[in-house]
Amino acid sequence: MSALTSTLTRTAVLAVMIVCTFTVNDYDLSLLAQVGLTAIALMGLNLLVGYCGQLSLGHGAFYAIGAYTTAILVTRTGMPHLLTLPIALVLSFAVGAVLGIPAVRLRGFSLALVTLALAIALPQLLKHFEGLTGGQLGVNVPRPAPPGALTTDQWTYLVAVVLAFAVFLGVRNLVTSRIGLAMVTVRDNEAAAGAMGVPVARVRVVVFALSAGLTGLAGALATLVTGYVSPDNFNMLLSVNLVAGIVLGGLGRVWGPIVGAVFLTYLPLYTTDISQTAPGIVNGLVIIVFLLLLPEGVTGLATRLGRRLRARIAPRSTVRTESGTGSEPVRT
Amino acid sequence: MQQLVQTLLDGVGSGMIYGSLALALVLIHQATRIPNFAQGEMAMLSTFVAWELIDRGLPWIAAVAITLALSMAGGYGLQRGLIRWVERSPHLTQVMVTLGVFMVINGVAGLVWGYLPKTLDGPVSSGSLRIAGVTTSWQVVGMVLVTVGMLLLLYLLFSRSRLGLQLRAAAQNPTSARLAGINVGRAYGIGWGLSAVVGAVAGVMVAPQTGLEPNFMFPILLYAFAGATVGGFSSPGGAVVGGVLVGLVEALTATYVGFIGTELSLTVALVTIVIVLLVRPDGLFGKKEVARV
Amino acid sequence: MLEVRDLTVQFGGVKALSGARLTAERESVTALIGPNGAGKTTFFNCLTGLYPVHGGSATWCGKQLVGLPAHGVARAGLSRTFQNLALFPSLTVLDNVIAGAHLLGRAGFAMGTLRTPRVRAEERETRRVAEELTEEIGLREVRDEPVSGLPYGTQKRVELARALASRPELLLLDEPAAGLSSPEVAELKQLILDVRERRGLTVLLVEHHMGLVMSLCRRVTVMNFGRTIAEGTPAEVQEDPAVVEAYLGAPT
Repeated sequence: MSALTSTLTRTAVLAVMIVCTFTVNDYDLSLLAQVGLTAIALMGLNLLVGYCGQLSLGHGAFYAIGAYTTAILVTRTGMPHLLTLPIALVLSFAVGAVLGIPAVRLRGFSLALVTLALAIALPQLLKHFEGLTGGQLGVNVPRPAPPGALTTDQWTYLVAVVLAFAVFLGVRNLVTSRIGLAMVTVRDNEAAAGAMGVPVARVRVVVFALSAGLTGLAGALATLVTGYVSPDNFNMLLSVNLVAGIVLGGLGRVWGPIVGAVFLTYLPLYTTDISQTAPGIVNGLVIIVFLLLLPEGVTGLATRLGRRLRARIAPRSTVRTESGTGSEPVRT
Repeated sequence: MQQLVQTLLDGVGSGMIYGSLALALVLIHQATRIPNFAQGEMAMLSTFVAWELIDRGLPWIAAVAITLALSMAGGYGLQRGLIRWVERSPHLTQVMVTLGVFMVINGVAGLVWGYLPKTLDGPVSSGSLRIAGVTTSWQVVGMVLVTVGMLLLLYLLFSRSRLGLQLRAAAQNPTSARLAGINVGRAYGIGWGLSAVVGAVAGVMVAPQTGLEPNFMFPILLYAFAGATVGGFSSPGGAVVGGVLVGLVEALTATYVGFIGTELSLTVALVTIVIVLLVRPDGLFGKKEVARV
Repeated sequence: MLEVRDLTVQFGGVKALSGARLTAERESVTALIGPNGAGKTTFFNCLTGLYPVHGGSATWCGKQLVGLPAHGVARAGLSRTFQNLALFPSLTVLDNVIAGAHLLGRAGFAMGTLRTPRVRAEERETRRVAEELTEEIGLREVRDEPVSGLPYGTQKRVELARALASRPELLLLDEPAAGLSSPEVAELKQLILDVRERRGLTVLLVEHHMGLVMSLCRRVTVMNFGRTIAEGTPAEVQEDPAVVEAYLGAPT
């Protein structure tokens, strides 16, 4: 894509986002905001699982850390909402780095183990430090005051989707860069990656911390959208749902998290009529069925179908295989 | 002094549970090199089955016997029906599939039995027992006896029986085992079945104390993982010892370290895992794994 | 010059290497031979930082290699291929080679995310280097194909190209001829000589193909049971009684 078309595309996407602010009702805007912030969390997790080949079962915990950071800063210190976002990101990044250092150097599932432990332990920790976290009851957080004539929902929607767009562009740059290629080599063959001069342990720790940071940012945005945090919203199942989101969207694919976020946001709306536990069952089945039958996810399938279609329309011109290094699926 | 002995006894009691589940994890890990994250939920499902059977009027012992048989069949079926299809996949895929199983079992149990805690009675009175000035409950004594008995049976199975030999052979070197005429697929299935049984025993023993609801195994699973990490994922005996050690640490910190109490017990398990991974990543009894290039 | 002295490694109680030594002059082609299980691949893995070393030293042009992590060894100018191919299966041939050129770039996480003009220039440059290399190693036709579907001999070439991409000074080849047909071995020999000539490379190879070893190398080091038992020209080591014994067993 030439520089001009990419600038045009970016402007067009931003324009659509802004137009939506004024044409879509508040309820749907809050759902779209949820899509945006979930996409941020999934883009973080996808960096770790899809590109670097490491599993985290505890990203719900980083989401919680971000959410509580914003909740506490806003209610205790009266800090402006937007200012708390970078702090939430940095704090989750730091916790990720501290946990990642012992976990990622070791055998494959050590990180899964440590993050699982974190996900199980965190709700109890949040309840324990009642003075800070409001304990079992959680914290009610005043929603941000919108600038100008916007409603609060319009404002939080804009913040969420614009940030999601920025993160999308950054992540897409990163995975096609030298470092993105290094991540894939670490996933594909650790020994060979090291022999090529890739500092395997450092790449893993930084990617883990980065993905934790992005998920923390998503959690902070969730507080702006819902105005409420409570320990039981951040249990183990949240972490597994996030995994289901990236598996459905497509591991190691830039568009995967977007599809996954739409799925995770709208699924409960349609299934909780059946049962409160239905989304969990669906997500569990999604993980199993996709990994067995469609490991490249929805976006992978779409790419494949699109390629076939183009080949049929223009059989002469050879369709170039996508050489964007990062967009290759996890091999299964 | 009495308080110390009592604390230690309680620790050993719950440690036996953790050790059992840790053993179940290690059995599967030995055979297939993956940690089964659905282990706790499988045990939860078994425990609900036992509860349902008792609720319908079966005597305790019959209900548990049927449950164990069903767990065996369920574990076998899960491996043969699902897990075998990812046997050749990368570990990441295998682990995520066990995670999918986790979600499905958890959701289905919630759908069928709901989230209100149920009480499951133990086989023995919940009365207490005094030996040499130390008070303990029959339940703790029962747990210790049952676990020791189960370990003995497993030990005999693996070391003395023909089946045990086949299972070990299939786990250590599937290709050679296949050449020697061992049905490796069946052996893996039995391995999963056995660990489902061990998990079921743990679930039935622990439910009378914790109450029974779909999420009740989360903390137990965490302790079991801590136990397996302490003992080393390559050592079945180590897993049990590790589980007991974790139980002791939990009991001791809860009693003697004021700010931890019972409320931060899960954090103790998290910290234990992180420290062991930092200091001795292969656990106390594990063999060092050398990556082959 | 590569100088290895008294390299010692143990796994559990077993000494995999004890007192392995080797020297290789700059710009020479040296072979490391020995019966199966002699410790040759372990020796490579220790030199390149994959296994922890328990004793001894290894220096390349005065730089100590023992104790460096794998990527540190690569930075010191060493590059290697693997006995059982270790390619990145989800990538194309060209991307495998670009991945091999990791050390030529500088862009880190932040720069990669922002994708500044400098990063783009750097990427174009790396790509050009990789494209030239695929040309040189004869991989032009398969450049954009996924590496996992290619024939074995071609995959070995990709690995060689990838190892050269970091512009190493010392190239370690672990059984480059294994699994190749004899015309392919002849081609390989020429290829190794060519790339060495053009780059002033030092080459160290583990090889069982004696024809290749004898015609390619001026110096041969022989290992058995984790120790070096002979060093010298191909003719010298062939005469060495210890070497004959290692390969054929002690005369009874």
